[in-house]
Amino acid sequence: MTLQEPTVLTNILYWLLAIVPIVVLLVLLVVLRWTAAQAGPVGFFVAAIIALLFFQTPVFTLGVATAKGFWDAIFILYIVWTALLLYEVVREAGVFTVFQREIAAFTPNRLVQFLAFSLVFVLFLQATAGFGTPIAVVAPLLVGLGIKPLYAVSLALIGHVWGNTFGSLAISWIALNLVVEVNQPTIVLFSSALLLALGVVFSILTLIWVFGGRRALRDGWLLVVIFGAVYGLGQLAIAPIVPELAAIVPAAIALGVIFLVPRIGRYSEPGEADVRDEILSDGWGGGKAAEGAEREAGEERRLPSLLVGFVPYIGLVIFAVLGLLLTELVEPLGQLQLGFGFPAVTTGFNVVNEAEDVYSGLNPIGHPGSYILLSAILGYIVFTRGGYIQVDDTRDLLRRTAGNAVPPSVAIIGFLTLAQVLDHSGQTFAIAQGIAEVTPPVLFAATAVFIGILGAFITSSNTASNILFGPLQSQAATSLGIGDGTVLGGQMAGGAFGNAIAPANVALGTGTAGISGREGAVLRITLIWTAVAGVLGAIAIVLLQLIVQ
Amino acid sequence: MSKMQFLWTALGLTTLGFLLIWYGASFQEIILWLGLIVFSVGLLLGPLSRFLAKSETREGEGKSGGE
Repeated sequence: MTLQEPTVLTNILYWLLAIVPIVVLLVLLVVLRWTAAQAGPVGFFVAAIIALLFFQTPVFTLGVATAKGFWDAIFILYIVWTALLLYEVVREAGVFTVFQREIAAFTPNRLVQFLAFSLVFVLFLQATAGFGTPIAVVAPLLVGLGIKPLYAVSLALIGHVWGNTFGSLAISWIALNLVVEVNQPTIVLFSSALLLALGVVFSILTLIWVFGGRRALRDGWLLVVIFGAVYGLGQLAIAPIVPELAAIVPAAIALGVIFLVPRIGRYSEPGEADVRDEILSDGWGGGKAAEGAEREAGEERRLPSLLVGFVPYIGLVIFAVLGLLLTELVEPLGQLQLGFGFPAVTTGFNVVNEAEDVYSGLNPIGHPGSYILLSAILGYIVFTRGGYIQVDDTRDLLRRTAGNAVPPSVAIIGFLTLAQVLDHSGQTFAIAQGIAEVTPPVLFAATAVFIGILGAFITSSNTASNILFGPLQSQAATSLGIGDGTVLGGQMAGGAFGNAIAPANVALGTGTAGISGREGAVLRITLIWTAVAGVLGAIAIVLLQLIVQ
Repeated sequence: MSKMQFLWTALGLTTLGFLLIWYGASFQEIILWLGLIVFSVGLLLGPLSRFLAKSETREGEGKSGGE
């Protein structure tokens, strides 16, 4: 989106009008506890009506924005549908039952078992595949471990934050460079990595605290130090030099480290702190996700070994790494794009969106949905050949997948069309510009973090948040004379923090964890986490700003 | 109609609406209008399902329990 000249968008009336759709969405989800499939569309209609009546948005522009939002939703739904298919395949084969029984062989320490999935596997998937994949894949695994679905989704959301900015080969950073001429790239990279380091420590502390309270924190302090150093310091060291590798290298190292952790004395045996009953469905390793398989197991069904059961997940890691390498190293594969072209559109306030031959092209080789689909197919082949899934059950399996995918699909379409209507009508610009105009220069870097969070909340994406608000943040920094380093760093980290409350991510998690409709309950947990992370990040970035100046 | 039927119809209509909007934006504006109407009707079924749908357990619901 570009603005050709200053317009009337920056006054208090337009600011208030622009935030109405977001307020309506939050009230419906969090206060009135509507499901995401019900609240998302209402947010879209409110935004569309305000766009038409007050933001001089032609119907043609509204239509193009809607279609672009739908296409953005397809991008996410490819992950939702395939992740649900993978879940159903794994569940049908009874893998969760095996997983619960045999996870203790890896280590008897439940805190380490818990962090292996809620942190290490989550962040590896975020660093390699991204786009909500870790939430869709790991939330059901945590449910299988015995965690209540509400906490499983919330913890996966909180656990995945660190990998957002530099995950998927730093796509968020690359996108920022496409829309902004960054004047202080090293400071941007350093400051965002610093905030993300604080964020990951806060994530680990939160995960451990939710797991077992103070006792777990006493037991797990060494894990905070180890993984805080691997992720936080690792990214801080790599980001200013090779940002593309700043998430994947620490995430891969952490994957190796988690296998070594059980060799440390205190983590080789059951810890003093045990998991809190409040977060468990039915005891540790007694997740309801496995009940179906458990029943079937009682009917003399064969169950795979842990290694065979994990074949789809091992496949997922291999496919993700292969996809990443292929799209980076083989140029024609990297340039493959499926999508639709759209003409240029504008509004009466000169909010212009240029024509695009292929809008937001979907690369089937590089899309995480393809990796998950291939892993689901691999799992299906292995499990049917091994006799763990009966071919006759395939139809039921597909029917359950589709049935579970529909509610989050409608929700995600609502959220992402809402985001594009806000963008194309200039409402997003009005919100951010209003915040920027009333903030004193010394505090603007702090505000930048919250604008980044807002962008991720609206668009459900760190990359889209950077594209949406990067130019505004850069312009504001220049006009305030404070340099763009810390401001854009705050934007990038804020975009990562905001992913914990991104409605599409939340709907993706509730869909795959089997609690569609409970998005408000998840948001009530992750909103608090994000607010605290935002405040910590804001304080840190202001201090850094004072040092840099 | 059940809640799931509402949501399946919503998914179908929004998809049709998207295709019509895209065609209309590229070739014939009147089709865009039609597409926007179809899309809006489809999306409206999401919130309407709250009030009009017969309550029922959806496919696979309860697979992971409440919380």
